[in-house]
Amino acid sequence: MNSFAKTFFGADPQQILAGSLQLDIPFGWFALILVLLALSVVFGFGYTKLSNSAPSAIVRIALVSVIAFALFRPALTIQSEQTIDGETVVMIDNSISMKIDDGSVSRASVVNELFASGDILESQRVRLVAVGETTSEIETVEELEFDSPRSNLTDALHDVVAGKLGSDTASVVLISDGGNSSDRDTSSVLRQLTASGIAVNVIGVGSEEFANDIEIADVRLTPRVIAGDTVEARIVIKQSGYSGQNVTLNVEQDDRLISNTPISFTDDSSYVVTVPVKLDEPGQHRVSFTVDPLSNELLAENNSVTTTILADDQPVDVLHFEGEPRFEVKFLRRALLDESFIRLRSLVRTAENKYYRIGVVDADELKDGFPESEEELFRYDILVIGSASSELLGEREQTLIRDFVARRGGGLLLLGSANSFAEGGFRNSILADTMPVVLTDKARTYRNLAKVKPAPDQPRTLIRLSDETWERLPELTVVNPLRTAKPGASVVLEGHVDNEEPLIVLATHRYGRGKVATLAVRNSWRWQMHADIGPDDLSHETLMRQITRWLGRDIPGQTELTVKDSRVALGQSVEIALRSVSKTFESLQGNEAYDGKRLEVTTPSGQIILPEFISSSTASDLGETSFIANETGRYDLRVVDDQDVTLASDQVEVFAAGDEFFSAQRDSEFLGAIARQTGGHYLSTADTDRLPEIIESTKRTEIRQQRIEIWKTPFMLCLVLGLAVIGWLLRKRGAMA
Amino acid sequence: MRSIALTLTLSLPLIPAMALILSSIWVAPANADQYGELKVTDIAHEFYFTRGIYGEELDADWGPRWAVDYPKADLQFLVALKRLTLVDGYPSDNAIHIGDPDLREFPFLYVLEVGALSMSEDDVVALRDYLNSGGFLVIDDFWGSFAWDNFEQQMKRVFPDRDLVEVPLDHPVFHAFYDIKEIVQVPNVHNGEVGEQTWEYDGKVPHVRGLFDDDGRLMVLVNWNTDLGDAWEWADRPTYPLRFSTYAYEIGINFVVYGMSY
Repeated sequence: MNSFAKTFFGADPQQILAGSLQLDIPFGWFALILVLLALSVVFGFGYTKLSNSAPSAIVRIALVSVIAFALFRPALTIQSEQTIDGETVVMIDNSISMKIDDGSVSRASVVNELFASGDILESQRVRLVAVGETTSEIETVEELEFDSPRSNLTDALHDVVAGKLGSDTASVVLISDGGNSSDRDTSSVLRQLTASGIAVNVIGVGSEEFANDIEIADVRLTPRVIAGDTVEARIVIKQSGYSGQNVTLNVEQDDRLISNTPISFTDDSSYVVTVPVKLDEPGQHRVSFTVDPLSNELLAENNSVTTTILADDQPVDVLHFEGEPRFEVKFLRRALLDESFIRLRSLVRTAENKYYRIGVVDADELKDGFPESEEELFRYDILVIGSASSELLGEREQTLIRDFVARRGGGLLLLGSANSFAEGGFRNSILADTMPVVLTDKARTYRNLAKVKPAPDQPRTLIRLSDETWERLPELTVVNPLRTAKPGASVVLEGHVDNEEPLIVLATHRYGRGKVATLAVRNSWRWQMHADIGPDDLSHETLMRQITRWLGRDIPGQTELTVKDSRVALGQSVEIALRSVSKTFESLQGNEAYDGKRLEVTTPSGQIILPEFISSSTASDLGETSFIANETGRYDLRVVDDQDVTLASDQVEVFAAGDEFFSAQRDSEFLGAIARQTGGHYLSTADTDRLPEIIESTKRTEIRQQRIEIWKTPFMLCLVLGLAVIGWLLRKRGAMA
Repeated sequence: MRSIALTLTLSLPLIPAMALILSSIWVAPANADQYGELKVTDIAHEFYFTRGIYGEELDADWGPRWAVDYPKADLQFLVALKRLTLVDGYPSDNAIHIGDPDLREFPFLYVLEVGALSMSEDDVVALRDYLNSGGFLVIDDFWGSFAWDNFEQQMKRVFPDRDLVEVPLDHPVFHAFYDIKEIVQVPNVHNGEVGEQTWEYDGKVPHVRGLFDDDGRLMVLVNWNTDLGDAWEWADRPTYPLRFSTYAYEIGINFVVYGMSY
């Protein structure tokens, strides 16, 4: 049937049936029908009269009708799919992970072997592309050096969509182990490829499992701390093939061993280890986590991770406000005395409308009591509120405090007292909204001594005291019975009173850009003064210092410099963003974010480069810039104003190798998804002989419209001739009869 | 929330009124039988005016030396403290031995008549720990060089390496609530009412001396050649000069506010 239709119409039956018919009718359909009827009647009736033969008349009418139909030049418009005879873009992973030897031969060798015979793509028009940190065209595979510290596969696929690799791409072949360093949204790029009809056929190289390997799979360490902080590093170690063996996790800080933790591998494949890291000296520190390679280990490069952490020594301004004289003022001052980075102001309301100011820098600071404007309050980084009821801190003050946390990004510590929380009338208040705890009815009569202990099943990262210390610390007085934490809040410390549900003593959460902690005890100083506590005991100091340090960490300034990646590999682009806010921390839009500011980058060899900011395309309050890290070592970044005053600074450590040796097994899931979602095929290296055929079948096609002039087709000629012959035969038979 | 300079309005005009209020406080006469620990165990307030008990010796006329002016001076001072400040003070007396571990519940300690102070070794250790932990000790009502020598000797037992030094008038303790511009010699009730002399023995010049810790924090504040306690106790007597009782209350309140803040 198909061949019949092709021969007589030049199209498939399906195309013909789906096509649309057009006639060139100068006087409309109705007239056409009238003319056809008239002709049929005249010719049919006349001929019937003459021949007295109905079949002949019908044939004659049909013939006349066909001829009349043909006079209107009938045409059929059909749609047809046509394969594009374009280029095949062959993308080859050029990253350093391709040098990994999975067994007997490296991944790079596998690629070279694929092209060695020269015939896998000889029938195609091919554009060869090397995919690494950037995408670059190459003439031959011999140009591949497999030394890129990153493999931005998604960026390369996006280049296809964007037409950067030619405008007539018919299909893509991607040869990779699946390691993808790109930050671009892969799903979005795949959707665009699919919409363009470009299939990606993928050849996966490398092993999906390593027989013998130990890997530092993940290191979690906050990138910025306050000098003197002790923070906890969380390390995930994976192993295969070494069950029953013992290893040691060595942690070095600035090339000095600070801890070694023994680990016994059982049958588990993954181990989580936490290690405290203390950063005493201000500045950038290198922290390395290493497990010495074992015998027969496939990959030694993934046994060590080095990261950097910045110990800040910028002063932190703390305002402690008390609505009445309290010993908490004295003992908080004592606890923070040795924290040289803290500039503590205490504002104590000693009588109605009379304030005692301690630690102020000049006669005007806080002279009118609690700050009355955002500009006045936002100069502080941390606000500590003690005994101050909702009558004293009215709606205006509470709004200021809320914005101090949410917009300015400050830290807020709320202390317990008879004038705090629900007991201070804060239920359903603006301040209550900022709290990590749920306030219920007032409990004016509640007063109990509570044994304070860490909340169970919570990581003890905020307050680090030994179990023995928790046991011997005296009870503290609770007058604010808090029992419920808000969703997302962390309960750090609980208070235990006989036969009562545990009280929430210390709870924390993030609120807007800032942080809030509630310490619901009336007399934390009891940990300093109690007879069971020796004068050299630092438990109270530790409590208050660690809360203050947690609150003071990462407090945004008016100018914020952000480096996108914590680990930067040689040759990688260092992406930098700058955000500036006004004195009241309102975002500055467009080029206001960087106007009058200059970025100075000092390279490890001492050169100074000056990348220029441009407005971000994704956020209206960001300026962005970048530079290529061409040296290993430390880059110093400094944003200065017109007067060369440093507004923000940061440092970037550039490593020789990136993340290419981590999770370096072939990622078949990722590669398969690329092929599947674009309509391509996922092949192993053993199936590459099918590649030419697959490429051909998956080449991009186009839908084109075709007009078939029916009156010119062989079908029409045959129809007319056929009817004429039938009519002649009928007449001849009638004459013989 | 606006601050107003209230120093004057809170001081001089109010003191006569305070005297009237104080005169209404009835205090039972002290006798030897009633002396002993009267320490508070249920701590409901922020501040306790805590009087330190020391020694065993009883004076024939006055009872034990630690209890001079006790408890009326303490109670009357607490009334003034409540009336003039926002300190949440316990309104009654709180006497506790300086060697008692429970002293550590009360970071403010008042001890007087230290001319005859004699501490056991346990008391010395307890007092040292108390002060090192953050306690604040106010000394009052001892006169002359003989008494000073004894007190200084006792304090050397507590802190052998620290000296009692003069506290300058620009120190925060003199400005924590009121601005104290001069050190006034406050006489005992007899001398104050007679009006001929304000000193006792050879203690003609009043001093405020202090003992500081390594961080410059005032741990011990010594009022030598002056008797604040008598001024607190007898402020309700019309014949006791107002300027002495005014000064005594002002500097006493400063001690409390400072002691709760530094």
